[in-house]
Amino acid sequence: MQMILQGIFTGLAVGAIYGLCALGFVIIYKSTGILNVAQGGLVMLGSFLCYTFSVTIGFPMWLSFIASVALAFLLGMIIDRLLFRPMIGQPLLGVVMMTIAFLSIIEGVTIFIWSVNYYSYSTVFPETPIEVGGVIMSHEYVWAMGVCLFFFILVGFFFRYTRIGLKMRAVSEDQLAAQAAGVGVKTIFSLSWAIGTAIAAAGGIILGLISMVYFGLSFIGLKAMPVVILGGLESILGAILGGIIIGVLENLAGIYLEPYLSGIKDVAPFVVLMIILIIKPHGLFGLERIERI
Amino acid sequence: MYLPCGTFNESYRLDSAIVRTKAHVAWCLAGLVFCLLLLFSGSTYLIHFATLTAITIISALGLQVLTGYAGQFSIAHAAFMAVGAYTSAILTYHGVPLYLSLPAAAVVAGVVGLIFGLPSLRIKGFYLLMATFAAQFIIMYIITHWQGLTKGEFGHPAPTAIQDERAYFILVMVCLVAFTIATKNILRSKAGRAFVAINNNDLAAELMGISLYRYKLLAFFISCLYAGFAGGLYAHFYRMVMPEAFSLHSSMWFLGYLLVGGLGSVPGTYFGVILIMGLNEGLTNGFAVLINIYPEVTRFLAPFRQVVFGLVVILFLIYEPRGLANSWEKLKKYLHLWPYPYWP
Repeated sequence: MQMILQGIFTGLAVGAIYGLCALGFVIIYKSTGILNVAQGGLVMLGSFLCYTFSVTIGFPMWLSFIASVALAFLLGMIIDRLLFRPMIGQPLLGVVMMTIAFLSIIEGVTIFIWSVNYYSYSTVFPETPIEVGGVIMSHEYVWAMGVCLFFFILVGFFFRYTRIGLKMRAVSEDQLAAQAAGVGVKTIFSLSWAIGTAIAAAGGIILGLISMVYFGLSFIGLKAMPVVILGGLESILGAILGGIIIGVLENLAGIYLEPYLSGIKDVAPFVVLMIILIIKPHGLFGLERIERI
Repeated sequence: MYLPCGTFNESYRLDSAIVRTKAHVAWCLAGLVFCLLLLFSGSTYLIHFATLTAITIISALGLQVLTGYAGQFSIAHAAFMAVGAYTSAILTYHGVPLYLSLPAAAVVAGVVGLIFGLPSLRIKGFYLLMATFAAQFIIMYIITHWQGLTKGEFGHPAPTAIQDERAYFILVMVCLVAFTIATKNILRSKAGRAFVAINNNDLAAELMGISLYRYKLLAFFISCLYAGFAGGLYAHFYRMVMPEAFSLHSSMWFLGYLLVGGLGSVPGTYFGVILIMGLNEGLTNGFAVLINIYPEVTRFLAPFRQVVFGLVVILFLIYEPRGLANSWEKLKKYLHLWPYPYWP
């Protein structure tokens, strides 16, 4: 029982981070229709940026968090302008290849600058974990969940109550109609990329806090893919719930199946992905669009 | 099909010929002469590189059938290659000769491809990309963790009867020619036309009476057949198979070869593989020179390769989205009309 609770708690925290990474993914997909394979790379880049700010330069943690998220925001705008603006109206494979090429460049540049070493932020949290009902919760995990929750609420409010959020929803519904109604689609694209990248970077920083800052975060960021498929590509709520489900599932698989199948923890999300795609391809909350010839 | 001025197909035999024009004959002769020169130059390095390129082309041809013609994504091509490589390695390790193990590798990879092609019946586009993405991780997980069969991450030996590098080069070249002809023939058969129809619009294709069930799976099977065979050749080329050789990145590189070469073009596949692998090899050699001046430089080779690959793909996507095959056609037209911009 203790073990299940512990596994569920860890899963919740990790799942919240997966949900955050997936959220960036969904925001980009919803308005631009681009499935960003490079999301994992952006997650990794965010954690390295924060490392540079906080350890190399010596900013306090909160400031480096804000600085790297802001930098990621700008980077998102730049990549939209340079890489994805020319791809509007191009076939699907071209767009996907663009994100793959971009991922290749991010990874290359990251190894170039930071090498393949392991880094960690200087700890800002107290060492002694909180214990509730026998479940040990370290401060990092609690903070991670808190920050994720904050971002979920922020994004929810943004889409629900602000004018730009309304415009973004309009674009995701129908680009042509939105443009006819006077929404600047290019601005919305650029903004979606910026927000998506910034959220990915935030996810990366939190991920770096609870584990380490290293090259493998790119792979962990890729787990956003099973999450979005489970939740549905168009759904923000789906991304959050999907993240939590995948996180809990992965941790429980790690606890209970690891003795029989070593390393199953990393593959479990992809097995789930495969099963969902065969049974219910549009996920929990995704839209099933009718196709016309 | 585009035919140069003055070439007329006057019989069915001429119409169905693969080597049709004088230019085709000239290219074939040039290829033959090039191979002979390589063989007699005796340079192990060049033969090594040419063999590797040819193996990659065979595998890329398979992806071309699936992605370029049938329009189905696969980002798991390297994993299917791994299935072939391990099958052939394990079979030869237990004493099966090469001429049996290579076809077996192709068939096993093809069957695995069929299994992972199943989702393609219900989903397409991004969703299919995800499915093959999952396939890449699942296949590589099984290969790395099935210790009893594959010896895990330390690699499995793949003994070969053909020890001589030149003999192996000839074998690979013969396979390359055979697979190129096979691809050309598949593409103009009923199946090939069905693939193109599915690529254009799969709903419309189904309404015209093309069984999506049959032809999408067939496309996956053929593609993985090529990958498996190429994987087998790869395994015996190095006499050792390692799981790292077939990572997600190599799958991405395969898509890059197609894109740079040009989708839906057999010569384009050749161009793409040769260009990117050539660049890669050039970079390696460049770094080998630099190492004398600054020994730290080796650390930067792998990331530099990735950056160059990404840049090449991005530049092609923006400036020549139809790949080198299209540039080649444009160049031919330009030379044909030279010095006029159009026919006076």
